[in-house]
Amino acid sequence: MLVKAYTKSFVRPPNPSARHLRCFAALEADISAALPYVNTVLKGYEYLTDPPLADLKAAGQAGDAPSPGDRHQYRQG
Amino acid sequence: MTLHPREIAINIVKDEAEAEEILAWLKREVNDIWERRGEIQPSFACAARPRVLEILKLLPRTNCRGCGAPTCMVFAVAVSQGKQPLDRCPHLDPEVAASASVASKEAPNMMDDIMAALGPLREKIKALELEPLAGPLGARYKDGKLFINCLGRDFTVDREGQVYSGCHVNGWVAPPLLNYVLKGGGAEPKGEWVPLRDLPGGKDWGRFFEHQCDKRLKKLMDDHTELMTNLVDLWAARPAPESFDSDIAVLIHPMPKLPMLLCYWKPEDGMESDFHVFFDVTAEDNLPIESIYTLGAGLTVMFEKVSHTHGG
Repeated sequence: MLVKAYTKSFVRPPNPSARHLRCFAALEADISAALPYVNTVLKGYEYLTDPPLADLKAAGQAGDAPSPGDRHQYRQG
Repeated sequence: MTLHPREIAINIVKDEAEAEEILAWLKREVNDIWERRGEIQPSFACAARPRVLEILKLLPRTNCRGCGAPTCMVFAVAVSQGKQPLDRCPHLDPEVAASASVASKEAPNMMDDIMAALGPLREKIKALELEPLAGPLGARYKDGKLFINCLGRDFTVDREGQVYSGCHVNGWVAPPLLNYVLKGGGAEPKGEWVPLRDLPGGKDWGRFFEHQCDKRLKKLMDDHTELMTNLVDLWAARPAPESFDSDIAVLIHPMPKLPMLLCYWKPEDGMESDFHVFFDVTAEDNLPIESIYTLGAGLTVMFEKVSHTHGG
């Protein structure tokens, strides 16, 4: 298992009227090697190689993840 | 959602529970994909995205705000980035939205959009008398051309709206440069600095700017802190010590009356590093907000290239 644990932190966007949060999860493991594969399967919206970075989008948008059930579940939250 | 080597960033979540749900899903996906990597072809490319101008052409361009965005252009950018569905525009015929199939078109090329925007700008430049603009723009006029200093280099704008330079003209520079001329040099900088989101029209561009510029530049500075020093040599930047109590700050002039203040705070005592670009409060008097954003995004790309060629 590559990703075992992560530590979450949250920030409020600078827009004073914003009601949402931004979440950052610091990973214990380095997932660089997995990112090109993640990019393939989850249809990354943007991919940078140096440093590696995969940008994904939520359901109904570019870069849909392939598991509608799962996405629906978290988007309904 | 952005997956970095040691971090996952989720831009918008309602609360902690939703974040945990998404993270748990991503953890399952990444681990499953990693287990199956032998049967997956790794990809270093991006998925297809629609072009901004293609989307804009489908919209009524009345800036009615019915979709929740302040302008049709902002909405088109959001759609192109996958952040809004096209059918959120209340004036768009559903059949048009469906038949547009914008998501299936070829991969985006932001530079194509930028170059396409040059035509109308050039037409407007042709209607101008350039000589009287030189003073207000902080430029020089000679032989029917304006000479405008950008980052220490002279760029020339002629009566046809063509942009020349002794060096390669970065595509990101030409449209903002023409817009700078069209704006006509509205104000002298005051030396009062604000982030882009605090400019009068910056509220809706702030989030894009943070994602496309501040965040990427912070990463660059973390890896190549000496980059600031290189900028002083390369782009006629000036050190700006003690700006916002930052550890490193430099002042650059992408346009003579459009300075930018770049501030970097080094990591300290468990605090993460930080990076922000600040603009003079008069910035929008000298350049439209869209061009300020374009310029910032273009400079970020150039910074990244500089870091590869001059960085450690």
